[in-house]
Amino acid sequence: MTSNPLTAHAIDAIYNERPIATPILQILNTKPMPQAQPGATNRYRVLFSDGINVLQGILGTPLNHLVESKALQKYTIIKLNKHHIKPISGRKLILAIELDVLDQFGDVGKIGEPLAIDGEPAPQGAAPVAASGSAGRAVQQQQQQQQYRAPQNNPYQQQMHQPQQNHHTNQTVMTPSGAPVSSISSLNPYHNRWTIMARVTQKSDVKTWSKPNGNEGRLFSMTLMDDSGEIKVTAFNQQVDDFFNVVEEGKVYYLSAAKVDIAKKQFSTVKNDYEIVLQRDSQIELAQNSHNVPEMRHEFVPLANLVNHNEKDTVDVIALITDVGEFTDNISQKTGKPLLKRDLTLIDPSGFTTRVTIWGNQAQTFALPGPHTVIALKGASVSNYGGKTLNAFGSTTFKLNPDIPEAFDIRGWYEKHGKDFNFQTHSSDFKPTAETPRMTFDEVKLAAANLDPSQTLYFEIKGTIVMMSKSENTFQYPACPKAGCNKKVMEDGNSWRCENCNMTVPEPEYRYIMGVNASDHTGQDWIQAFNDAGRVITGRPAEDLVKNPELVPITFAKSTFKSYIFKCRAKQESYRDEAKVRISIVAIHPLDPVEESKKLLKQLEEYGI
Amino acid sequence: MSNYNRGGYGSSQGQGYVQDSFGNDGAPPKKNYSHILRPVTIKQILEATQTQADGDYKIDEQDIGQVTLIAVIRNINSSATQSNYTLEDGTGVIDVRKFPSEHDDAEEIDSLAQGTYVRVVGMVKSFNQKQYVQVHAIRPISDMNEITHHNLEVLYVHVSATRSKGASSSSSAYGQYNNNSMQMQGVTSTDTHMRGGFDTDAVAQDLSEFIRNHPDNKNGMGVHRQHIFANFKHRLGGEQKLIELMAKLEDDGLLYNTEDEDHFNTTH
Amino acid sequence: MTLPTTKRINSAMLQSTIGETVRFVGELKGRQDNIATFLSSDKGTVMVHMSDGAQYGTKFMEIIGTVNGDRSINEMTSTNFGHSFDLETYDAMIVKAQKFPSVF
Repeated sequence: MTSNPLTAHAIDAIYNERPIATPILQILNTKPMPQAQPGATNRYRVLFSDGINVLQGILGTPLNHLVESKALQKYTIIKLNKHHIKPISGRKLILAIELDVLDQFGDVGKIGEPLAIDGEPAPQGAAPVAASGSAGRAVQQQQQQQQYRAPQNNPYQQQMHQPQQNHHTNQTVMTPSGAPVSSISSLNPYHNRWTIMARVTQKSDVKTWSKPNGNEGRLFSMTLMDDSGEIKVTAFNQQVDDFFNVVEEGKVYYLSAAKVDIAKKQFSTVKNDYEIVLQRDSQIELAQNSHNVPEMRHEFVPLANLVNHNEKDTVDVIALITDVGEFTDNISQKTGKPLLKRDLTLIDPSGFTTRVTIWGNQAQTFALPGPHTVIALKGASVSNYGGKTLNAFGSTTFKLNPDIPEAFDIRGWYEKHGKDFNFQTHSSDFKPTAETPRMTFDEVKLAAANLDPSQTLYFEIKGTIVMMSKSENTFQYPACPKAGCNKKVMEDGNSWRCENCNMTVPEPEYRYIMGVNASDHTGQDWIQAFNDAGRVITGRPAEDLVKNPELVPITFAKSTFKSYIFKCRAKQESYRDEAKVRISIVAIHPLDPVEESKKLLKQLEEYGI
Repeated sequence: MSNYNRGGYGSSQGQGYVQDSFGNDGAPPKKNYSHILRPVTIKQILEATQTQADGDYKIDEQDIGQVTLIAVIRNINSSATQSNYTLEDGTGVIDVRKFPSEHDDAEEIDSLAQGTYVRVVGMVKSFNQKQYVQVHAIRPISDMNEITHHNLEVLYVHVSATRSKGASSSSSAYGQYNNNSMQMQGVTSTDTHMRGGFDTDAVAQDLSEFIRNHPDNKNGMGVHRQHIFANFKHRLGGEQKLIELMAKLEDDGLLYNTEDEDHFNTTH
Repeated sequence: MTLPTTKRINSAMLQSTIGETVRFVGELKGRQDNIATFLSSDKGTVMVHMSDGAQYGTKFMEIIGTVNGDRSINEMTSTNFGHSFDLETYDAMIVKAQKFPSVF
């Protein structure tokens, strides 16, 4: 074989779209593509190789004659003068526009053992290279790359304040006797000599059971967790006596000489295919140096996303408790047993509020340790009762004010924003909004201009409030406080009169009615916010602002330049004898950046991007 | 911020009414860009063009209006009359200037530390030929997913602006509005059944010839889609159909992008 | 103030950015001495040589640094990206963004 003429790493450069001038490549295969319609121009698929990697390509039709005349065939060496890289259904292809056939190399056969480049890049130095010339070059190139060290001057280094937290340190951990510690995820029934080091994240009370045949016994269970996963541990009878008082929730222990069984999933929400049963010779020993065992393992779901979960799904939730309901012990109509329960009202930064029901003795003794209590629920069950609510059944564990970063995040959020917030509920009439078309302000203008007086246009729009009500005095009105009336009341001496209800009240209810100006990248509009939307936008009831007018400018300033999804209706109305289109807010939601990102990705796809 | 609230829009019609009225012919009003709010990268601001000295800056040949961007504070320089934040978003570095206001939220201002990701809304201005942003609002972002969302918005706005430039922006909006109105009537599909009414093969052939002979294509750099759109969308009954045809030609290897996603050349 | 421009990258783009300053977002998976291991938005593994005194406060981190020949990153600075960051949409975003050098 003559020396290898191929341009090493050219395919890598082409694939990763780095500039490369006229690489020399070998054709490994040519194949006509299936024709879209009979009689259409032939297209040829070709496999390009640089001796290290291969990549599929398509010949531009002007090059077809090269294949048809057999100038271009298996193992032909070419110079690729002009090409484009084309993504087709998730893969990249070379579109060859111009190439020269280099026939001076004669019949060389296949050069190297090139590998497909699609997917992960070939590991450094692992690409087998047959021909010496190219191998030499490749190695040299690698050495150059490895010698390249980043420059040491660092323009960002002038500032370095980061929270002093660190949750992750991975070192090989040894037991006190010097044996290596196994991870929970490595446990299975085939190994019996192991020691794990794990935190007790949940420990049950001692339960007694009895069967009709007279068998009875006691058990307790706990959940152990390390940074690889979690597992349920159960102790029966004698082991209850041996270990129940040894183990404390929250502490880290070494555990060995216990039995690994297939998990009985109907009794457990712990995410592991196996569980542990303690044996007579099992060992449990407190671990002193335990900082690298994580606290609790949660996959928290924002309350806003509960709508995506089905009834009986179990979820982990972290939220702030805003209200603790009364303890009730109603008799269940089904079973005749008392139902001990208590409802807690939760909020989280997703802008939603929901209710979690806790049951049994937990419900009876529940008390808040202080204001702004954060609750972390693990394995709460989703209910469709009253929208989307949660149940904390027996297998659900919860912890108040857990010492985890998410809890600090929530409390920080609440202290900063949460108090001023109006929360959405997953009420029963909450519907996904597929029917309401998403529009831009540009499109709304055109649609509104063509609106028939009898028509109402419903749409939703993603917009940013750029200006609040033009007047700081006319953003609200005194309304009749009677439920469902909301009509304006007139001051009448020391009281207020509602003509609609024909009654007089001592105090009106102040309700928002104000125009806000919202913009997007196509335009802007004044849209009218009623009381509910006004509360979301300002974060306060209108009454606050009426009673404390000095709060108006700062409240309006804080409300401006925030983005929402506005659900609106537009209708023609006459105003000063002119037909005008009035746009009102029907509902308002804070942006969910992930959901909106997904929408944008779809819209970009429509542009072929 | 309150400066801004009180200034700007002078008219004082009834609240909640559409401010710009329409003529009886329903013609769209001339676009006033000062009211739009465009998501941008710092690079887009720095590379914005001015058609004349002291004229309005343009991005994608549109007046900028207000901009919103997300970036990290890298430096802070405050005086009694003005706060200067140097921001960086990976695409460039720009100064933003904020006049203090009595309605500023002190806690919010304090949270604007170096290394913090913030969202800024403001107007692009320049001093000594150097662009800066006059701030209406600058606030830390609380959810880093906003960065993903912002960049996708930037991209979408750029793409929708540059890919309908062949037509006037208003007529593209008509097109989109028509789609929406169909949805409102319960017709969710605007599918390709219309294509049967047009001779797509003939259009494809003419399109190749048009690209090949276009003066912009002298060096094989391709032709911008705006020229293609302007000349061919009517032949297929709309831009969407043309986009579909071009996508198909691309899949068939007959059409390809040259220097960027907007320039096309033909393989014929 | 001179700061480099930094392309947002995933693990597949490291090879083509050797020697450049980049912006990388990943999920912190572990740490040994001053080398942190991250899961990248395209589900690759990325090693970061932490800068002196660096503290990673959240599950997701943004690292600005330079790419070494072995595709590891020398951290220059980092930002906490919180405990819930959607890497999937982020990855889709950066893959699209890299096709628009006039914008990003």
